This record gives sequence, C-alpha cells and structure tokens, in this order.
Amino acid sequence: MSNHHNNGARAGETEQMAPSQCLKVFIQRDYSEGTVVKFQTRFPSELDGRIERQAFELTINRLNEYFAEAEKASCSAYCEGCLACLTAYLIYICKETHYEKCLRKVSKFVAEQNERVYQPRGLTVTDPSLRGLRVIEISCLDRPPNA
Amino acid sequence: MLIKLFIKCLMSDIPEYNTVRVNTPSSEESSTCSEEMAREQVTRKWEIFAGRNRFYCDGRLMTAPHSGVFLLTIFLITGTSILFFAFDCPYLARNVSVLIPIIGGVLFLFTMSALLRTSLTDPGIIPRATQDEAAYVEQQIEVTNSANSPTYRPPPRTKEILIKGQTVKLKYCFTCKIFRPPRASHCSLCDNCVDRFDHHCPWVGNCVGRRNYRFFYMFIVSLAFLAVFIFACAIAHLILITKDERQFLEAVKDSPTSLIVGIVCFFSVWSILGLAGFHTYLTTSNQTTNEDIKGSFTGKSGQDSFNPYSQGNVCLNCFHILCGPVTPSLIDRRGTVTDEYRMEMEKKVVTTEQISVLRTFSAPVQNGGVLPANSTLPEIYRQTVENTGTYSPIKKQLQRAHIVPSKNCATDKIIPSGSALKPKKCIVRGDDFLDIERSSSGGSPPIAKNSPARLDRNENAPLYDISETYYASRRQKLPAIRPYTPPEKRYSANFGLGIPERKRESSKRPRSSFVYENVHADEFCVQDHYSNTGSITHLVSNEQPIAIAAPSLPKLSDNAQEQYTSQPCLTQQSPVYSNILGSSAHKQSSLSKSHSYAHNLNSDQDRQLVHNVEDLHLDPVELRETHVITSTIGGVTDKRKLQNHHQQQQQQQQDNKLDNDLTLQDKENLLLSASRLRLLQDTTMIESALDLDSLDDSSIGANSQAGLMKISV
Repeated sequence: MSNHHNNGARAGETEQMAPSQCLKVFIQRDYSEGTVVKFQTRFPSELDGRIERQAFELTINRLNEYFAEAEKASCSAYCEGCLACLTAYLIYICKETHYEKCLRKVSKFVAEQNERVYQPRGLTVTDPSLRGLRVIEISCLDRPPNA
Repeated sequence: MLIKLFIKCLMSDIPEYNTVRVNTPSSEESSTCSEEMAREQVTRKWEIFAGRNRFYCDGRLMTAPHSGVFLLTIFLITGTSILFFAFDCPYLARNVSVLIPIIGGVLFLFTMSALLRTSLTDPGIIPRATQDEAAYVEQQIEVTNSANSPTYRPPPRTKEILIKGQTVKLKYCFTCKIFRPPRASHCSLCDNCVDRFDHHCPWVGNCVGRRNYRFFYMFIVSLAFLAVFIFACAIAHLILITKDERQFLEAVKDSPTSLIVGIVCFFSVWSILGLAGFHTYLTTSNQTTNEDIKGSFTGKSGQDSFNPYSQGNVCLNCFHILCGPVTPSLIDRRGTVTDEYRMEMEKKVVTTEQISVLRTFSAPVQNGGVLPANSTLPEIYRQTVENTGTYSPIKKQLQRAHIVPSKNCATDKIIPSGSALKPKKCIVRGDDFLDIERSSSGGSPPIAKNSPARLDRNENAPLYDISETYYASRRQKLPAIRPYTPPEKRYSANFGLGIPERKRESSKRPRSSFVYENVHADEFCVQDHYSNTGSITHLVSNEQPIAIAAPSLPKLSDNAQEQYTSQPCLTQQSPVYSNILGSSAHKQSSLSKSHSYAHNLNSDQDRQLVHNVEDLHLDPVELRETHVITSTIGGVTDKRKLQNHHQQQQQQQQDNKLDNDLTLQDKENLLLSASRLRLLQDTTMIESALDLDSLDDSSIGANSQAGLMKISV
C-alpha cells in the first residue's frame, strides 16, 4: 500500500516537474469508421526508441475498445436513452450515463498505463478526455520540443 | 512542481508568502501553501472559457450570449399555458374530462424541461486546442509546403479524409486551432466549434449540437403537441359554450382568453409543426440542418454521394440520435483551473530559439540564485507574445475604448493568468495596484536606487503610475479572455473612443516633470509596439499578396540598423530610462539581444523579419527575472523596440519620441493603425476568397489573420 502510494507520489511529481515545454506527440483521431471516437494506431516516428511498438499499440487499441464500448449502440444504452426521454431527461440529474462510466474507465486505464509503462520510459500519456477526445497527447518529459 | 511552487511563493511580493523559503524545502510546507491558495481562490474553467457563452450557477448552466429571444420563447409558452390552465381547463375538466388538465400539465412540463435542457446545457462544444497541440498541427500542415520554394504559400487549410469510403473535407478552425472533426462547425455567435453542429437557435438561446439535439427535437415535438392540444381545447371550450344555445360572439365575450389562446396557438402551430416535420426528416436520415442546407450528401456533378454517418435504416437513425449514447460535456466547466492548465492554454507556440533563451534565464532562478522580487513576468511573457502574435492591433483598441464586454460576470473579470498561487498580486484592481506599485518602486533594489529622478516619479506621479499600470495590465489580460470581436466593431471602437481618450491623457500630463513624461511616452510606445508588431507579422505572413505589403518589407530591414544605432543616444538622453531599465547585467543582455536583432535584420530580408518578431517577444522574457512591476517597467524596456517601429512607420527624427508633441504622433499613429486595420480587412477578404469552400464559414473570414500570423512566427 505504502509502496503504491509512493509510486503515485513519484508519478505525480515527475509529471508536475515536467517542463511545460517538452516534446509532445499527438495521436490524431481516426475517422475512417465515422464519428465514433477512435484513435490512429500508426506508430509515431517521434517515439522510435522510446517505447516498443507493441506496448504503444496495445494502449491505443485498448483505448479504442473502451470508446467503442462507450459508443456502442447496445440495447442497454438505448434503454437508458428512452428512460431518460420518458422522465423528461430529469434522470440525468441524478444518474451517471454509460458513457461517463466508460470515460472514467479510460482515465483509470490511462493512469495505470502511465504508471506501469510510460513513466519508466520518460513518457506521459494525457487522458484524451482532457483534450476533448480529439487527440491523445504523449509527452516526452526529457526531450525539448523540436528535438 | 514543488520547486516551481517555491519559486512562485518566494518571488511574489506579498509578504506572507515570503516566509516560505527555498532552503527549507519540506513538502508539507509547500502543500499547505498550495492548499491555502486553492481555498483562497478557486478559478473554475468556465471563468476563463474562451468562447462567448454565459455561465450561471457557478458553471452548471450555460447559454449562448444573447438570450433575449429565449426569454420571449419562455414567456410565450408559459403565458399561453397559464391562460389555458386558468380559464379553459376548469370548464373542460367539469364538462369533458379530468384528463384534459392532466395531459396538458404533463405536456407542458415535458416541453419546459426539454427547452431548459436544450438551452442550458453544453451543445457539444469542442474545447480549443492547447498551444502545444496547435503548434503540432501547424507543423504538420507546413510539411505540405515545399520547404525551399521561393514563394511562401499559406498552407492548405483543409484536410481530406475518408469516412466509409466517402471523402470528407475537414476544415481548419483558426479560432479553435483544430481541424474540425467531421460534422462539427464553428458557431460564430458562441465562438466555439460545436460537434455535430445543427444550427444556432436563438429561440432556445443556444447552439443545437450533438449533445442537445435530442433535447431540442423532443422540445420541438412536444411543443407541437402542446400547441395543437391547447388550440384544440380552446376551440372546444368556445364550441361547448355556443352549444348552450348561445351565439359565438357571446361565447367569446364569456371566455375571451380562449380566443386569445386560440389565436396564439393558431399562428404558432404551423411553424412548429413544420419544424417538427423537418427535424423528423433530418433525424430519420441522420443529417444535421447544417448539412442539409449545404447539401453535403446530395450528389454533386454526378458523383455518387451518400451520407456516411447514417446507421443504415430509418429506425436505427432515430434510435441512435434520440436515445443513443451521448458524449459527456468535454469542456469541464466546473473543473478548477490549475497552473498547468493555464500554461497549456495560454502558452505561446515557442520555437527552438526562444526556448533556449528561456532556459538560460530560468536556470539561475532554479538554483536559488538571485531572486529579484518578481513573479508576474512569466505571464507578461506569455501575454505579450500573444499580443504580438495574434490579435495585437485589436487588443490595444479594445482596451483603450473599454468596450471589452465582460463575459460570464457582471464585473470586469480579470483572471490572473500567472498562477493561482499569488492571488492578490495578480488580480488587477485599483487598490492592489496601488500597493504593488508602491512596494515595487520602494522595494526593488536594482531599479534606480540612486536616481534623483526616481523620487520625482514617486512623488509626482503615483496616481498616474497606477492608472497606467492598470490600463496596461488590463490591456494584457483581458484580451486573452475575450479574444474575438468582429473587425468592424474593433475598428469603430478605436475611432469612436481612442482619440479623445488619448488627447485627454496627454493634456493632463504636467510638462515640468521629465521623468513623468518618459513614463507616459512609454505607455503609448507599448501600444504602438503592439500594433506595429502586429502589422509586421501580418505583412510577413501574407507574403506580399497586396501592393502595400511589398514595398514596406525592404524598408523595414533598411531602417533597422540606424534604429539600433540611435538607441544609445536615447539612453543617454533619458537617465530615467536607463535607471528604470534595471541592473546593468540585464541591460547588457537586453542590448545585445537587440543588437542581434538588428544584425539579423540586415543580413537577409524575409526570414529576418520573422526573427524580428521573435526577438521582440524575447525581450520581455529577460525582464522576467529583474523587474517587479509589470507594465510600467516592461514598457520602458520595450521602448527600444518601439522606437524602431515608430521610425519604420513615421520616418521622423527619433528623439521626438520623448518630446511634448506626442499627441501629434499619436494621431498619426492612430491613422496608420487605421489604415493597417483596413489593410487587415482587405487581406482577410482575400484570404477567405482563396478558400472558396469556407466562404460560408463565418469563423474563417474574421480569424484567418490570426492563423496566418501564428504560422509565420
């Protein structure tokens, strides 16, 4: 427990001590299947030698899975929508939507990946929901921009 | 972060924070420090939100800026319904059925709920790009420009992607600095990009987009039902009265409100029904109003064009739109603004050169070396850069004219952009500035300790100092919050108010005080600097598309050397200037800086102009370590550059800068800036005309300037 706590503290520190100007790589959205949230899995050349291609792809694919689940046109999602409509959308005041739960899972996953995979390699992944689900931002903490 | 925090605490002028010392770096202390700050001043993200939306209930609710028509909608619906419930319902309940008031009540509640949901929630605003992301995207755009082509072409501002085999063009949004996702569009009224933008509906006082389309649709449909229902009931009421062997006119006399309600409903029901039908059609075909109007999916010139977003059949489309999962709001209105968030949002896109300079200057501070009492200048750096980079000519005038509309708050909301850690220092209010100004002029060692003129300044012109600082800081801060105003407005605002205000100020100026005049001159200089730099960037970025632009380019570089050479004499002429400028070490560095600037300018033509702009940005960075007070002193140091620009523009003798005929110069400057603005508008038109596709897009016309400038810097 204490170990975990320390890890967390260290992680936070590294993140915060990161110079606000460091090399950042942005993984763009992949719109080939419509407007569902999906990110490109193409390995960015800037990360060459920083992280294994498999680890990177795993992260992105998992994220894509989470978002696919969030946007999946499942029966429960429709029921949720219908129920909200029937209650004149008042239910949204007190209940968390399926999508929000998924976004929380994404945040958790990103934090976990950061701690396990990315921070030991001097990288940090920013939660895409902090960037409006437009990009996944990967910062190389020890590299200046334009490097 | 801990170190940063310490430095901020240490560097701030407020006494209580000075107790936190660098050589006692215990984490408890710093965390308590930051917690205290957080309690003292929680800035939520909606307060510095870049768009024009209004927020209520501490960010829980949001609407578009002009809600007059929305109030009319509410008034019409509630008024008609109240009349119906008060006069028709009792009779109908007695004579027909109790169900009538119940159904009416349910419909009414549903309608109002849907209406309020539509207008008070986030329509699906796409948050603007952070500066880093914007830089990255622009880098990607510029790759398409051949690197060493003789003529610099503005990079293409569209990107084509394939969605299910259908080509879709993504446009670059210069305001939000993003390639708009498919189906998103920029709402010029709210100044945001909205996902799956349908339209901006003044009746509900909000954009209709991805997140609130279902509410909007349900509102329209339920309102149609309600209107039909009330109309039917009112007519039924009248007919039932006439049934009792009475004339229609008597019946109307008996229940005049039924007639009023009937008439209101009769006239509104047609448009509502039409709208409901139209949106039903859109829903079933999974289109937005925007796409339907543009005809995005109707085959152009024989191409096989289909809607790539459609789910396949009518029912699925309806389900997906009305009941499908919906993205939570992405703008995180209630989140607290952290330092880093602010940095991300406001930081200038920095090139390598600037970063290296930043590094060298920040190094001694981090080692706990000389720590002059200052902390605001990082933000000055950012802001200044922003001024020069993007909206410079406009910001000045906005400030001068005081027409900056305060968004989100009744009072002037001046958000400290430096950090949340120094609340008092950053909040620009008159009183605070009085304190800061006094403490700074009294307490900062490097500034003109032995200067007799300094006393002069303190005694004679403290009030002026304050107001000047106040203006200057307003000038720096507010525009960051309030970035976009239509050019015409800026233009007229400048002309309506700018001139008289300047006149008044200069006439107020006592002519006996030499120092005072210097300071005064600086204020104007600062402004002119902003505007001039803006125009230079402007010219460079457009790469001589206009006749006026071409001749002025060589002129600039020709003049650079002599401008520089005349600077020393200026310094000698005004002792205060050199005194205020600060410690000799920093003077050295800044002079060498401008030396390299002049040197650069002479060696080549176009590239160096870009450098020029960068160098201008850099000087305030040097200030950061030395000086205490933001604008006054910053202005003084800016003077050198400003004079350069004065000369470029006016070709007058340099030394007049500090003389009494400033008003004349100012007037000329004003005229010049007017012509520059006109130029800007002309260019803007040309720019948008180049991109024929974006002619319909209001955001591009007004803001293309900004985008181009940033690219060139």
